[in-house]
Formats: sequence, C-alpha cells, structure tokens
Amino acid sequence: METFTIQDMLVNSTDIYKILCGLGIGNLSECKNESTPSPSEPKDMNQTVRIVLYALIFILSFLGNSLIIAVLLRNRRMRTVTNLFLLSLAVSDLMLCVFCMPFTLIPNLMKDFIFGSGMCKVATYFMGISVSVSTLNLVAISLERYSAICNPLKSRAWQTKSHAVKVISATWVVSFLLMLPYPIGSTLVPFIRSNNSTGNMCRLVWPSDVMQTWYIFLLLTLFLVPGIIMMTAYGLTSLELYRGIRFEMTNRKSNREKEYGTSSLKNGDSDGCYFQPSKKKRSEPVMPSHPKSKLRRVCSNSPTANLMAKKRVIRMLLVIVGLFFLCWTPVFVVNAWRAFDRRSADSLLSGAPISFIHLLSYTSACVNPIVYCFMNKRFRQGILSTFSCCRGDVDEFSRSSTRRSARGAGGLGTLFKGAGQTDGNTQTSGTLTKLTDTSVRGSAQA
Amino acid sequence: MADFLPSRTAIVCIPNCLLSSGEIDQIRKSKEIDKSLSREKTYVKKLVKILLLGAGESGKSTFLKQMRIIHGQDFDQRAKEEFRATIYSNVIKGVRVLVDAREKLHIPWGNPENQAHGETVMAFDTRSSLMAKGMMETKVFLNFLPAIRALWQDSGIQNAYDRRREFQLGESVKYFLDNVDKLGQLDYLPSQKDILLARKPTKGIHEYEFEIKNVPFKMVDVGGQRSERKRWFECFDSVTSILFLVSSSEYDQVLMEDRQTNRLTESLNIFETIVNNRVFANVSIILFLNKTDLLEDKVKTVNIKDYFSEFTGEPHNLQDVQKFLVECFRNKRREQQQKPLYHHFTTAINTENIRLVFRDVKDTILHDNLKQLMLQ
Repeated sequence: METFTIQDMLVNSTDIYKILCGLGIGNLSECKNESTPSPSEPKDMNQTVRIVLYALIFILSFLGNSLIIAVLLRNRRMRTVTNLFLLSLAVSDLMLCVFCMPFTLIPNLMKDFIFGSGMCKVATYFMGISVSVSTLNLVAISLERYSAICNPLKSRAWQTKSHAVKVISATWVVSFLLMLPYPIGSTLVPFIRSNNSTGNMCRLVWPSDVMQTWYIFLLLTLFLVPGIIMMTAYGLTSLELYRGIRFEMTNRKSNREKEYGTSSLKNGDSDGCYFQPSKKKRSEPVMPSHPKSKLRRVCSNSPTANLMAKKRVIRMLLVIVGLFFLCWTPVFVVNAWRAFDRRSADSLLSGAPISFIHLLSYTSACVNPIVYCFMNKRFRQGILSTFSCCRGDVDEFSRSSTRRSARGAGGLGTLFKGAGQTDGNTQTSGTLTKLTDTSVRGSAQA
Repeated sequence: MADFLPSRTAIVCIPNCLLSSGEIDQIRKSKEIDKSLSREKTYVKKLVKILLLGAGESGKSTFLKQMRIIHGQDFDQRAKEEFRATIYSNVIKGVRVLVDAREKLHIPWGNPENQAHGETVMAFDTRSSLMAKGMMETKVFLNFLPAIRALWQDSGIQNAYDRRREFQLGESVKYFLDNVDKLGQLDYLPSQKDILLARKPTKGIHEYEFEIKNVPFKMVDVGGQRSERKRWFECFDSVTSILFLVSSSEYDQVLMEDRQTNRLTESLNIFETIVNNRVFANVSIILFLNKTDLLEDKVKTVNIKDYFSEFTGEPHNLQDVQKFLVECFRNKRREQQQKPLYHHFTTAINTENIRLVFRDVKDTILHDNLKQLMLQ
C-alpha cells in the first residue's frame, strides 16, 4: 500500500515540470523499465543523443548570451533604448540556460536530484523567473518596435531610457512575484529506482485541481497572450512597412509613366519620390547620350536599396514570430494535454518525443541572441569594435574557432531544416560563424 | 520683559507657525515650475525641427507665411498694417526700377507726358528711416498713387516689364500694380494673398511653431542673401530635416547681389555646401523646387540650353526640364551620404506643402527608428 501511494504521488506530480524542464522523462522511463525491461544498448544511445543535444544547446546559449551581455556592458555607445531590452533578454536567457538545462539533465541521468531540498526550491524558482522574464521581454520589444514604426512621430516623446528601465524592472518584478508558488510548493519526493535504491525528484506538490488551474494560468500568461500580442504587433508593423513599399512601387510606376507622357505636369506637388545617392560619382551634371533610359534606371534603382531593407525587416519579423511559436507551442500544448488527460499523453509522448519537445523550448534561449542581435549589422560592428583589442590573439585560437564553427553550424542547420526556412538557414549559418569566431575572442577577453 | 516669554513658548510649541505665508507660496510656485519643466521636456522630445534654407528670393518666407496662415494663428490688425506698409514699399520700388530700366534700355515713352510722372517717382527719397526698413506710410503712398497708375498704363513701361529678365524686379510687383486701385483705398488692409505676395528680405533668424496632427513643428527661417548665410550654422542643433527651397523658374536670371551669377547655379552651389557638410550627415533633405507654375510658363519661351549647355532633351518639355533640375541637385551629393533626399515640385503657397513635409519627416524618423530598433 505504501509503495502504491508513492508511485501514485510520483505520477501525479510529474506534470508540473513539463512546462519548464524535462525532468519527468527519467521517471517515466524508470516506470516502464520496471514493468518491461528494455535492452541496454538502445537506452545508452538515447542517453548519448540527449546529452549531446543538451550540451550543444547549452554551449551555444551560454556563449551567445554571455557575449551580448559583455558587449553591452563594455561598450557605452551601444547603450540605447533597444539595447537595454536586449540586455535584459540576454540575462534572462542566460538564466534559463544555466538553471533549466543542468538541473534537468543531471538529475535525469543520475535518477536523483542530488543538489538538495534547498536547491530544489531555488532552481525551480529561477527556472520560472527566467522563462517569464524572457517571454515578457520579447513582448515589450515587439510593442516598442510597433510604436516606433507605426507612430514614429509620437513615440519619440516617451520611448526613452528611463521608460525602458521602468518596463524592464516591471517585467522582473512581475516575474519574481508570479513564480513564488515554486519556492513555496517545491519539495523533494522520494521514489524507488530500478536497482531498488531510493532516489529523489524535485516536484511541485499541489492538489490536482490546483495544478490544473496553475497549468492553464501559465499557458495563458506565458504563451497564448504573449504570442497573440507579438503576432499582432509585428503583423501591424509589417503591414505598415508593406504599405510604404507599395507606395514607393506605385510612385516608381507613376514616374515611369510620366516619362513617356506628353502632357505637361499640372500639379507639381504630386511628385513625391525620394532618392538615394547615385552609385556613380560625377563631378558635374553631364547627362548621358540616352537620357531617358538612364533616368529610368536611376529612378528605379534609387529606392531599391530601401525597399530591400524594408522587405528584409518584414521577413525578419515573421521569423521572430515563427520561432516563438515553434519553440514554445509543443511544450505548452503537451502540458495542457497532460493537465486534463495525463494517461494518453504519457503513453504517447514518453521517451524521445518529450525530450525533443523540451529541447525546443530551450532552443529559444539559443536563437534569441542570433535573431535579435547577431543578425543585425550594427550590432556585429559593435562587437568587433568592442573586442578589437584582441585581434593580435586571433592566430592562437584559429583551430578552436574552426572546430566550433563547424559543429555549431551543423547543429543549427539541423534545427532550421526542421523549420523549413532555407533563407534563414543560410543567413544563420553565416552569422553563426561570426558568432563562434567572436565567442573565442570573448573567451580570450574574459 | 515677562510679557515676551509666552510668545516664544508658543512659537516653539507650534512648529507650523514657522512657515510664513511667503514660504508656503514659494513651495507652491516651485512645484508649478517643476510641472512646467516636465511638460516642456515632453514637448521638446516631440518637437520636429525643420531648417528652411535656400538662396535669396527662393520663397522660404512665403512658405512660412502660408504655414502660419493655415496651421497657426492668423495675422492680427497690427501685422496687417505692417504688411500694408511693406506692400507700398514694394510698389514704389518696383515702379522706380521699371522707370529706370525703361531709360537704360532706351525704350521710348508710350505717352511722352508720363515723363513728368516718372521724374516724380524717381525724385522720391528712398533713404528715409521708414523706407530703410522696407516700409512706406499710407499718406506718402497716396501722394504717388496717380503717378503710379499712369505709369503702369504706359506702353513703354509695359515693354520694360516684358524685358524684366534683364534687370532685377520682384515677382509680385505686377500683381500689386494690377490691383493698385485697391491698394489706394483709405481703409485698405492686405488680404491673405496680399500678405503672401508681400516681399521683404529676411534678416536675422525667425522661428515659427505650429502643430500638425498633434505633432509640434518648429520652422526656422533664415535669410538667403549671401550676407545672411553665416547665420545658418547657428541653427543646426537637433534639426530633424532641412527644407531646401529653390526657385526652379530662375535658370535664366542672375543674382541680386552681384548681377553676374546665374541664380540656379548659385542654388546648386549652396546646396552642394549644405548637403555634403558633416554636420548634416544625419539630417534628411527635403528639396522643394519652388515656383513650378512660373517654370511651366517659362519653359515654353526660354531655352534652358542657352544657360545650361549640358542639358539634353526637349527644352520646351516641362518634364525633361524638371528631370534635369532634379538630376543637377542630386548629383551634388557625394556617395557617402546615406540619408534620403526627397524632392517635390511645388509653389510656396500650395496648401499641400505641409502634407509633403509631414510625410517626409515621418518617413525620416521611421527609418531612424528602424536602425534604432536593430532591425536594419
């Protein structure tokens, strides 16, 4: 009877961790192993794959976010309003990396939460905080961008550093308060392992209905509402940029028509296109022998760079929203599923599927630095200027950078192939090379 | 002596009495000042500052007058009276220029009896204290009104007017002379159109503020004559955009200052200096090719090739000439410049001008924000 009670308690309390970490995998595996022992070789392979993937994501997240923090703290010129948000995002992603992955993988492999009861409370608390702050930061950034692009003149009045500090402080305070149930309710729960020894698992222990309410609350607060806000903000932003692009295209067409028209231009104020400087430098305005073709080419070329920039921005905004949903939808859907139908969810998802689902959520801490910082040209220039003093040491670390670059590119390539975004993959690979190279310098600097 | 003791005790026991009404008033004023400073700070962040630059008579002040009429408070009685005096001055000076030109160009009088009227007008002392400010008293103007009316009807003066390109004549003189009877009424006050067309060279720096769609704008108007250009660099702090005005119709005219330099060439040289200045590396340029209505008329009669031999295309085709003008200004920019250059063909009194400026400024700030947001 006592054994059955412990087993039941373990099964009941496995759900909570799914929302943040993959600790339950070991437990479920243990249950299955007890009833139907499986060959040892597949088990070892499974563990090896998990270790490699976790280590890979951990290293990339740690290096990427650490580099961002180092650059933004050292380079005073880069402390803009937006970079304050990015700094906060990097800190929260670094926390997510440091607290979620080790405290998930190690107890899972050792079948025992070896860090003690106190650390159980602390670890779960900071896991929750890091996820919450990271998500709220993404929402704040999307709203800042929406205001700056859709209302550029009005947003200048309130988008200041002090406002950014207030918003960032609010996200951290709200997150600290929101996740208080974890240090209060988390505790070590003993269970019997396959070799008949006793192990402990870190669990949030509440009555069943309270757990369901908590899951739904987190689902709405940390996923659905943020996702909808980001989708709306970036959608409206993309729409505004698209309108600008279409306006310029229409203007270009209008100019082309005028070029062939014979009627005089009655309303001069209708001509409203703007120009970028000509690529060819001319000391005096000497017109070419074919003025019409030349003018047409120049006129059509001038806004092209700008149009391309706006299109690139739109594409990036879509990638940002896509990545958010890609990383977090699986884990939140699974938790909602488990909250109401634990039996079928457990039977279908235990093992490799749940591992991959949790790994996806951790991947957000890895891709955020890339999408928000390293894909930005000015940020890369800032990194180079910050660490320019380390150029003399490049030769010493060339081998390390080559090795890591190859490995990193491979890893992310796999992830993005799953996403089916060829352009993003190419761009990310290129960026990742720079990231790895600069990471080495960053390490040297540290 | 003992009577003083209770008073001291009372003061010590009631600390509130230490605050006199004056001090309370000071605290209240201090709080009001703090609130005012806070509001001012918000306003300054919102403010869009635009610098109006261009050669003399390119229409900068006319543009501003139109902005003020449409988006600010209208001119009051006193301002209108001042403009009336300015208009009288414009008229008398214009007539004197025409009479002088008729003589120097050896154009015969249509009516020899108008010789006397011409001499009357030329005898007027333009160095009086009021005329030095570009203003003329109503009483004095009415004395010259009959002579002015007779002269403007003389065919010799009309012939001189037709050859106005060969000398310096304000553009609005014809308008006022055509309406000289209205000007002569005792109760005359300038209409909005009259105010717009009144010409007074801008000296010093003038700032006007108005709101468009809840966004505060500040336009800074500086003189365009060569003697006024050294002031331009005093106005450069925190400028959002430069509005550069050009008289697009003056490719066949020379400067008032030296009577040799082609006016369009002068504008191009000024533009080159401005657009390649490092101070303006982060400022967008809005190019207003002004007086497009006059350009449309002039293109039909004056060949731009006579003045700009590099022009290729049909000299009487408005669009060809317009493209050439834009190309001339655009080529003055060096490749390092990254800020966009917006251009519009317009007239200073066009009511759509501020919409163009508003859209261009908004686009400028949007692009700045794209960079700020790490999106570009």
